Amino acid sequence: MPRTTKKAQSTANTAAEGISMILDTPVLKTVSEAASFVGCAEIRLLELFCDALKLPEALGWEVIPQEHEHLLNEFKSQANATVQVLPEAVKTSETSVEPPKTAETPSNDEAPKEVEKAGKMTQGKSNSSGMTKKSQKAIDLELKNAKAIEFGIEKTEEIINLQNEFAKGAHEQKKRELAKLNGRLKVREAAHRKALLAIKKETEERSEEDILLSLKAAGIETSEELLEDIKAFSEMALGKFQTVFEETIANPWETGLESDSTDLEDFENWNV
Amino acid sequence: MQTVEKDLLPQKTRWSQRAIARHLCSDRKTVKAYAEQLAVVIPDYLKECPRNSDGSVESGFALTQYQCWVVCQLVTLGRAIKADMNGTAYRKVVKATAIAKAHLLSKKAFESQSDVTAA
Repeated sequence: MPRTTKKAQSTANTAAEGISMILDTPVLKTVSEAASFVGCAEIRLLELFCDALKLPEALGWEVIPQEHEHLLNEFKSQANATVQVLPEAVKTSETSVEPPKTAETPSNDEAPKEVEKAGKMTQGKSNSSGMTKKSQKAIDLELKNAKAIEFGIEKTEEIINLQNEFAKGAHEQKKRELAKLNGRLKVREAAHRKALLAIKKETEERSEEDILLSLKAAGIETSEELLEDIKAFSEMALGKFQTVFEETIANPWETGLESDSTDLEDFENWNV
Repeated sequence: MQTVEKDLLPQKTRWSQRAIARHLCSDRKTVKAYAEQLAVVIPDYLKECPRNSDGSVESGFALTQYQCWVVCQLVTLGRAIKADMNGTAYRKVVKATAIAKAHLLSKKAFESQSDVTAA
Protein backbone atom coordinates (compact mmCIF):
# COMPACT_ATOMS: atom_id res chain seq x y z
CA MET A 1 0.00 0.00 0.00
CA PRO A 2 1.32 3.49 -0.79
CA ARG A 3 2.45 5.71 2.06
CA THR A 4 -0.04 8.41 1.25
CA THR A 5 -3.22 8.14 -0.66
CA LYS A 6 -4.86 10.56 -3.04
CA LYS A 7 -8.57 10.71 -3.10
CA ALA A 8 -10.07 11.05 -6.57
CA GLN A 9 -12.82 13.65 -6.55
CA SER A 10 -14.37 13.24 -9.99
CA THR A 11 -13.77 11.53 -13.31
CA ALA A 12 -11.65 13.23 -15.98
CA ASN A 13 -12.69 13.47 -19.62
CA THR A 14 -9.31 14.39 -21.06
CA ALA A 15 -5.80 13.48 -20.12
CA ALA A 16 -4.97 17.04 -19.14
CA GLU A 17 -7.98 17.17 -16.86
CA GLY A 18 -6.99 13.90 -15.35
CA ILE A 19 -3.43 15.05 -14.69
CA SER A 20 -4.55 18.33 -13.19
CA MET A 21 -7.08 16.50 -11.08
CA ILE A 22 -4.40 14.18 -9.75
CA LEU A 23 -2.06 17.04 -8.99
CA ASP A 24 -4.77 19.05 -7.30
CA THR A 25 -5.90 16.17 -5.15
CA PRO A 26 -4.65 16.79 -1.62
CA VAL A 27 -2.45 14.22 0.02
CA LEU A 28 -4.10 12.56 2.96
CA LYS A 29 -2.29 12.00 6.20
CA THR A 30 -1.75 8.51 7.41
CA VAL A 31 -2.71 7.60 10.92
CA SER A 32 0.93 7.29 11.97
CA GLU A 33 1.74 10.78 10.64
CA ALA A 34 -1.28 12.25 12.33
CA ALA A 35 -0.41 10.50 15.61
CA SER A 36 3.12 11.88 15.54
CA PHE A 37 1.68 15.33 14.81
CA VAL A 38 -0.68 15.16 17.77
CA GLY A 39 1.87 13.42 19.98
CA CYS A 40 0.03 10.28 20.99
CA ALA A 41 -0.33 6.64 19.95
CA GLU A 42 -2.18 5.72 16.77
CA ILE A 43 -4.87 3.74 18.52
CA ARG A 44 -5.39 6.63 20.91
CA LEU A 45 -5.83 9.06 18.04
CA LEU A 46 -8.38 6.78 16.41
CA GLU A 47 -10.17 6.54 19.74
CA LEU A 48 -10.35 10.33 19.88
CA PHE A 49 -11.82 10.45 16.41
CA CYS A 50 -14.28 7.72 17.39
CA ASP A 51 -15.40 9.69 20.46
CA ALA A 52 -15.48 13.03 18.70
CA LEU A 53 -17.37 11.85 15.61
CA LYS A 54 -19.39 9.09 17.32
CA LEU A 55 -18.12 6.83 14.58
CA PRO A 56 -16.95 3.32 15.63
CA GLU A 57 -15.61 2.76 12.11
CA ALA A 58 -12.89 5.32 12.82
CA LEU A 59 -10.97 2.65 14.69
CA GLY A 60 -10.27 0.96 11.37
CA TRP A 61 -8.95 4.04 9.50
CA GLU A 62 -5.57 3.92 7.84
CA VAL A 63 -5.64 7.50 6.57
CA ILE A 64 -7.32 10.54 8.06
CA PRO A 65 -10.12 11.85 5.84
CA GLN A 66 -9.63 15.40 4.68
CA GLU A 67 -12.90 16.62 6.16
CA HIS A 68 -11.74 15.54 9.63
CA GLU A 69 -8.18 16.80 9.53
CA HIS A 70 -9.15 19.99 11.32
CA LEU A 71 -9.72 17.91 14.44
CA LEU A 72 -6.02 17.13 14.60
CA ASN A 73 -5.22 20.67 15.66
CA GLU A 74 -7.85 20.50 18.38
CA PHE A 75 -6.51 17.22 19.65
CA LYS A 76 -3.01 18.65 19.67
CA SER A 77 -4.04 21.73 21.64
CA GLN A 78 -5.90 19.55 24.13
CA ALA A 79 -2.84 17.33 24.50
CA ASN A 80 -0.60 20.36 25.15
CA ALA A 81 -3.05 21.76 27.68
CA THR A 82 -3.10 18.44 29.53
CA VAL A 83 0.68 18.32 29.63
CA GLN A 84 0.72 21.77 31.25
CA VAL A 85 -2.03 20.86 33.69
CA LEU A 86 -0.48 17.61 34.87
CA PRO A 87 2.73 19.02 36.43
CA GLU A 88 0.68 21.52 38.46
CA ALA A 89 -1.51 18.73 39.76
CA VAL A 90 1.59 16.80 40.74
CA LYS A 91 3.01 19.85 42.54
CA THR A 92 -0.15 20.41 44.58
CA SER A 93 -0.22 16.78 45.62
CA GLU A 94 3.43 17.02 46.70
CA THR A 95 3.06 20.24 48.72
CA SER A 96 -0.04 19.17 50.68
CA VAL A 97 0.99 17.29 53.80
CA GLU A 98 -2.30 15.62 54.70
CA PRO A 99 -4.85 16.10 51.93
CA PRO A 100 -8.39 15.10 52.89
CA LYS A 101 -9.46 11.81 51.37
CA THR A 102 -12.92 13.05 50.37
CA ALA A 103 -11.45 15.92 48.41
CA GLU A 104 -8.84 13.70 46.81
CA THR A 105 -11.11 11.09 45.27
CA PRO A 106 -13.15 13.44 43.09
CA SER A 107 -9.98 15.00 41.74
CA ASN A 108 -8.67 11.55 40.94
CA ASP A 109 -11.88 10.79 39.07
CA GLU A 110 -11.83 14.05 37.17
CA ALA A 111 -8.20 13.98 36.19
CA PRO A 112 -8.43 10.84 34.04
CA LYS A 113 -11.53 12.19 32.27
CA GLU A 114 -9.75 15.43 31.45
CA VAL A 115 -6.78 13.51 30.26
CA GLU A 116 -8.97 11.28 28.12
CA LYS A 117 -10.56 14.26 26.46
CA ALA A 118 -7.26 15.89 25.79
CA GLY A 119 -5.91 12.73 24.31
CA LYS A 120 -3.31 11.75 26.89
CA MET A 121 -3.87 8.67 29.02
CA THR A 122 -2.18 8.69 32.36
CA GLN A 123 -2.56 5.55 34.39
CA GLY A 124 -1.45 4.81 37.91
CA LYS A 125 1.86 3.82 36.38
CA SER A 126 3.02 7.47 36.56
CA ASN A 127 3.30 7.05 40.34
CA SER A 128 4.74 3.58 40.22
CA SER A 129 8.36 3.06 41.11
CA GLY A 130 8.85 0.43 38.43
CA MET A 131 9.46 -2.28 40.98
CA THR A 132 7.56 -5.51 40.65
CA LYS A 133 6.47 -7.55 43.64
CA LYS A 134 9.01 -10.22 42.75
CA SER A 135 11.93 -7.80 42.63
CA GLN A 136 10.77 -6.11 45.84
CA LYS A 137 10.61 -9.48 47.57
CA ALA A 138 14.09 -10.33 46.30
CA ILE A 139 15.42 -7.02 47.63
CA ASP A 140 13.81 -7.59 51.02
CA LEU A 141 15.31 -11.08 51.19
CA GLU A 142 18.76 -9.72 50.34
CA LEU A 143 18.45 -7.09 53.07
CA LYS A 144 17.46 -9.76 55.55
CA ASN A 145 20.45 -11.92 54.58
CA ALA A 146 22.78 -8.95 54.80
CA LYS A 147 21.56 -8.18 58.31
CA ALA A 148 22.01 -11.81 59.35
CA ILE A 149 25.53 -11.83 57.93
CA GLU A 150 26.37 -8.62 59.74
CA PHE A 151 25.09 -10.09 63.00
CA GLY A 152 27.11 -13.24 62.37
CA ILE A 153 30.26 -11.20 61.76
CA GLU A 154 29.77 -9.31 65.01
CA LYS A 155 29.30 -12.51 66.95
CA THR A 156 32.36 -14.08 65.34
CA GLU A 157 34.48 -11.06 66.26
CA GLU A 158 33.23 -11.31 69.81
CA ILE A 159 34.15 -14.98 70.00
CA ILE A 160 37.60 -14.31 68.54
CA ASN A 161 38.22 -11.59 71.11
CA LEU A 162 37.17 -13.93 73.89
CA GLN A 163 39.45 -16.61 72.54
CA ASN A 164 42.35 -14.17 72.37
CA GLU A 165 41.78 -13.15 75.94
CA PHE A 166 41.58 -16.75 77.00
CA ALA A 167 44.77 -17.50 75.14
CA LYS A 168 46.40 -14.51 76.78
CA GLY A 169 45.31 -15.68 80.18
CA ALA A 170 46.51 -19.17 79.42
CA HIS A 171 49.82 -17.75 78.32
CA GLU A 172 50.13 -15.85 81.56
CA GLN A 173 49.27 -18.98 83.45
CA LYS A 174 51.93 -20.88 81.53
CA LYS A 175 54.45 -18.21 82.37
CA ARG A 176 53.63 -18.48 86.03
CA GLU A 177 53.96 -22.22 85.91
CA LEU A 178 57.28 -21.97 84.13
CA ALA A 179 58.51 -19.51 86.70
CA LYS A 180 57.45 -21.86 89.43
CA LEU A 181 59.18 -24.75 87.71
CA ASN A 182 62.24 -22.64 87.29
CA GLY A 183 62.16 -21.86 90.96
CA ARG A 184 61.85 -25.52 91.77
CA LEU A 185 64.78 -26.29 89.54
CA LYS A 186 66.85 -23.70 91.27
CA VAL A 187 65.90 -25.17 94.60
CA ARG A 188 66.83 -28.58 93.35
CA GLU A 189 70.09 -27.28 92.08
CA ALA A 190 70.89 -25.72 95.41
CA ALA A 191 69.94 -28.92 97.19
CA HIS A 192 72.18 -30.96 94.96
CA ARG A 193 75.02 -28.57 95.43
CA LYS A 194 74.64 -28.59 99.16
CA ALA A 195 74.50 -32.36 99.33
CA LEU A 196 77.52 -32.74 97.20
CA LEU A 197 79.41 -30.16 99.14
CA ALA A 198 78.56 -32.00 102.30
CA ILE A 199 79.79 -35.24 100.87
CA LYS A 200 82.92 -33.55 99.64
CA LYS A 201 83.50 -32.00 103.02
CA GLU A 202 82.97 -35.26 104.79
CA THR A 203 85.32 -36.91 102.41
CA GLU A 204 87.95 -34.26 102.77
CA GLU A 205 87.70 -34.28 106.52
CA ARG A 206 88.57 -37.88 106.66
CA SER A 207 92.31 -38.07 107.06
CA GLU A 208 94.77 -40.87 106.59
CA GLU A 209 94.57 -41.61 110.28
CA ASP A 210 90.94 -42.38 110.02
CA ILE A 211 91.68 -44.71 107.16
CA LEU A 212 94.37 -46.50 109.16
CA LEU A 213 92.09 -46.87 112.16
CA SER A 214 89.43 -48.28 109.95
CA LEU A 215 91.84 -50.75 108.44
CA LYS A 216 93.15 -51.79 111.92
CA ALA A 217 89.62 -52.29 113.10
CA ALA A 218 89.07 -54.45 110.05
CA GLY A 219 92.14 -56.47 110.96
CA ILE A 220 94.22 -55.45 107.96
CA GLU A 221 97.92 -54.84 108.57
CA THR A 222 99.07 -51.57 107.20
CA SER A 223 102.23 -50.89 105.37
CA GLU A 224 103.68 -47.94 103.54
CA GLU A 225 102.95 -49.50 100.20
CA LEU A 226 99.38 -50.10 101.18
CA LEU A 227 99.07 -46.56 102.36
CA GLU A 228 100.46 -45.23 99.11
CA ASP A 229 98.05 -47.37 97.14
CA ILE A 230 95.15 -46.23 99.25
CA LYS A 231 96.27 -42.63 98.82
CA ALA A 232 96.60 -42.98 95.07
CA PHE A 233 93.19 -44.70 94.87
CA SER A 234 91.54 -42.10 97.06
CA GLU A 235 93.03 -39.30 95.01
CA MET A 236 91.78 -40.95 91.87
CA ALA A 237 88.39 -41.49 93.41
CA LEU A 238 88.27 -37.95 94.68
CA GLY A 239 89.33 -36.68 91.28
CA LYS A 240 86.52 -38.58 89.66
CA PHE A 241 84.21 -37.46 92.38
CA GLN A 242 85.29 -33.91 91.76
CA THR A 243 84.50 -34.31 88.09
CA VAL A 244 81.15 -35.85 88.82
CA PHE A 245 80.51 -33.17 91.38
CA GLU A 246 81.21 -30.44 88.91
CA GLU A 247 79.12 -32.05 86.24
CA THR A 248 76.19 -32.49 88.61
CA ILE A 249 76.41 -28.88 89.66
CA ALA A 250 76.52 -27.76 86.05
CA ASN A 251 73.51 -29.89 84.97
CA PRO A 252 71.25 -30.30 87.98
CA TRP A 253 68.05 -30.43 85.98
CA GLU A 254 69.22 -33.53 84.09
CA THR A 255 69.66 -35.45 87.27
CA GLY A 256 66.62 -34.32 89.16
CA LEU A 257 63.94 -33.45 86.58
CA GLU A 258 62.00 -36.69 86.65
CA SER A 259 61.48 -36.81 90.36
CA ASP A 260 59.32 -34.22 92.00
CA SER A 261 60.38 -35.18 95.47
CA THR A 262 62.49 -32.16 96.14
CA ASP A 263 60.68 -28.98 96.87
CA LEU A 264 61.40 -25.90 98.92
CA GLU A 265 59.99 -27.54 102.03
CA ASP A 266 62.02 -30.64 101.51
CA PHE A 267 65.08 -28.50 101.09
CA GLU A 268 64.42 -26.72 104.30
CA ASN A 269 64.09 -30.04 106.11
CA TRP A 270 67.33 -31.30 104.64
CA ASN A 271 69.59 -32.32 107.44
CA VAL A 272 72.98 -31.30 106.23
CA MET B 1 -1.90 -32.99 9.41
CA GLN B 2 -1.80 -31.28 12.77
CA THR B 3 1.76 -31.05 13.98
CA VAL B 4 0.98 -29.14 17.15
CA GLU B 5 -1.09 -30.69 19.90
CA LYS B 6 -3.99 -28.64 21.14
CA ASP B 7 -3.44 -27.46 24.70
CA LEU B 8 -6.25 -26.75 27.15
CA LEU B 9 -6.38 -23.27 28.63
CA PRO B 10 -5.63 -23.20 32.38
CA GLN B 11 -8.25 -22.18 34.92
CA LYS B 12 -7.40 -18.50 35.15
CA THR B 13 -9.06 -15.12 34.64
CA ARG B 14 -6.38 -14.04 32.16
CA TRP B 15 -4.51 -16.04 29.61
CA SER B 16 -1.19 -15.24 28.02
CA GLN B 17 -0.92 -14.89 24.28
CA ARG B 18 1.42 -17.86 24.26
CA ALA B 19 -1.16 -20.08 26.00
CA ILE B 20 -3.83 -18.99 23.55
CA ALA B 21 -1.50 -19.78 20.66
CA ARG B 22 -1.04 -23.28 22.01
CA HIS B 23 -4.79 -23.61 22.45
CA LEU B 24 -5.42 -22.51 18.84
CA CYS B 25 -2.49 -24.53 17.48
CA SER B 26 -1.15 -21.29 16.06
CA ASP B 27 2.01 -19.24 16.36
CA ARG B 28 2.28 -16.74 19.20
CA LYS B 29 3.22 -14.01 16.73
CA THR B 30 -0.02 -14.59 14.89
CA VAL B 31 -1.97 -14.32 18.12
CA LYS B 32 0.00 -11.17 18.97
CA ALA B 33 -0.92 -9.57 15.64
CA TYR B 34 -4.57 -10.44 16.04
CA ALA B 35 -4.70 -9.33 19.69
CA GLU B 36 -2.80 -6.04 19.36
CA GLN B 37 -3.59 -4.89 15.82
CA LEU B 38 -6.76 -6.47 14.54
CA ALA B 39 -9.01 -6.96 17.54
CA VAL B 40 -8.45 -3.42 18.87
CA VAL B 41 -10.90 -2.06 16.33
CA ILE B 42 -13.68 -3.44 18.54
CA PRO B 43 -14.52 -0.81 21.18
CA ASP B 44 -15.39 -3.24 23.99
CA TYR B 45 -12.17 -5.13 23.37
CA LEU B 46 -10.11 -1.94 23.36
CA LYS B 47 -11.56 -0.83 26.69
CA GLU B 48 -10.17 -3.92 28.42
CA CYS B 49 -6.66 -3.54 26.97
CA PRO B 50 -3.93 -2.30 29.34
CA ARG B 51 -2.36 0.92 28.10
CA ASN B 52 1.01 2.61 28.21
CA SER B 53 1.47 6.21 29.25
CA ASP B 54 1.20 7.50 25.68
CA GLY B 55 -2.09 5.69 25.08
CA SER B 56 -0.74 2.78 23.06
CA VAL B 57 -1.75 -0.76 23.90
CA GLU B 58 0.71 -2.61 26.12
CA SER B 59 2.71 -5.21 24.28
CA GLY B 60 2.29 -8.87 25.19
CA PHE B 61 -0.58 -8.30 27.60
CA ALA B 62 -2.60 -11.21 28.98
CA LEU B 63 -6.13 -11.49 27.63
CA THR B 64 -9.37 -11.73 29.56
CA GLN B 65 -11.96 -14.36 28.75
CA TYR B 66 -13.90 -11.97 26.51
CA GLN B 67 -10.74 -10.84 24.72
CA CYS B 68 -9.66 -14.43 24.27
CA TRP B 69 -13.05 -15.23 22.77
CA VAL B 70 -12.75 -12.30 20.33
CA VAL B 71 -9.25 -13.33 19.26
CA CYS B 72 -10.34 -16.93 18.77
CA GLN B 73 -13.25 -15.76 16.62
CA LEU B 74 -11.00 -13.57 14.48
CA VAL B 75 -8.34 -16.25 14.07
CA THR B 76 -10.99 -18.73 12.95
CA LEU B 77 -12.33 -16.13 10.50
CA GLY B 78 -8.84 -15.41 9.25
CA ARG B 79 -8.17 -19.08 8.62
CA ALA B 80 -11.41 -19.34 6.63
CA ILE B 81 -10.68 -16.22 4.57
CA LYS B 82 -7.05 -17.14 3.95
CA ALA B 83 -8.06 -20.34 2.29
CA ASP B 84 -10.50 -18.47 0.05
CA MET B 85 -8.29 -15.51 -0.80
CA ASN B 86 -5.43 -17.64 -2.01
CA GLY B 87 -2.49 -15.66 -0.57
CA THR B 88 -3.74 -12.09 -0.86
CA ALA B 89 -3.84 -9.70 2.09
CA TYR B 90 -6.56 -11.38 4.11
CA ARG B 91 -5.93 -9.61 7.43
CA LYS B 92 -7.29 -6.35 6.08
CA VAL B 93 -10.46 -8.18 5.25
CA VAL B 94 -10.54 -9.59 8.78
CA LYS B 95 -10.11 -6.08 10.18
CA ALA B 96 -12.83 -4.65 8.00
CA THR B 97 -15.13 -7.51 8.92
CA ALA B 98 -14.43 -6.96 12.60
CA ILE B 99 -15.34 -3.28 12.23
CA ALA B 100 -18.49 -4.08 10.32
CA LYS B 101 -19.55 -6.84 12.68
CA ALA B 102 -18.43 -5.22 15.92
CA HIS B 103 -21.84 -5.74 17.49
CA LEU B 104 -21.44 -9.51 17.02
CA LEU B 105 -18.09 -9.36 18.80
CA SER B 106 -19.23 -7.07 21.63
CA LYS B 107 -19.15 -7.97 25.29
CA LYS B 108 -22.91 -8.34 25.35
CA ALA B 109 -22.76 -10.93 22.62
CA PHE B 110 -20.07 -12.82 24.47
CA GLU B 111 -22.02 -12.79 27.73
CA SER B 112 -25.21 -13.92 26.05
CA GLN B 113 -23.35 -16.70 24.32
CA SER B 114 -21.68 -17.82 27.54
CA ASP B 115 -25.10 -17.81 29.25
CA VAL B 116 -26.45 -20.00 26.48
CA THR B 117 -23.56 -22.46 26.79
CA ALA B 118 -23.91 -22.49 30.58
CA ALA B 119 -27.61 -23.22 30.27
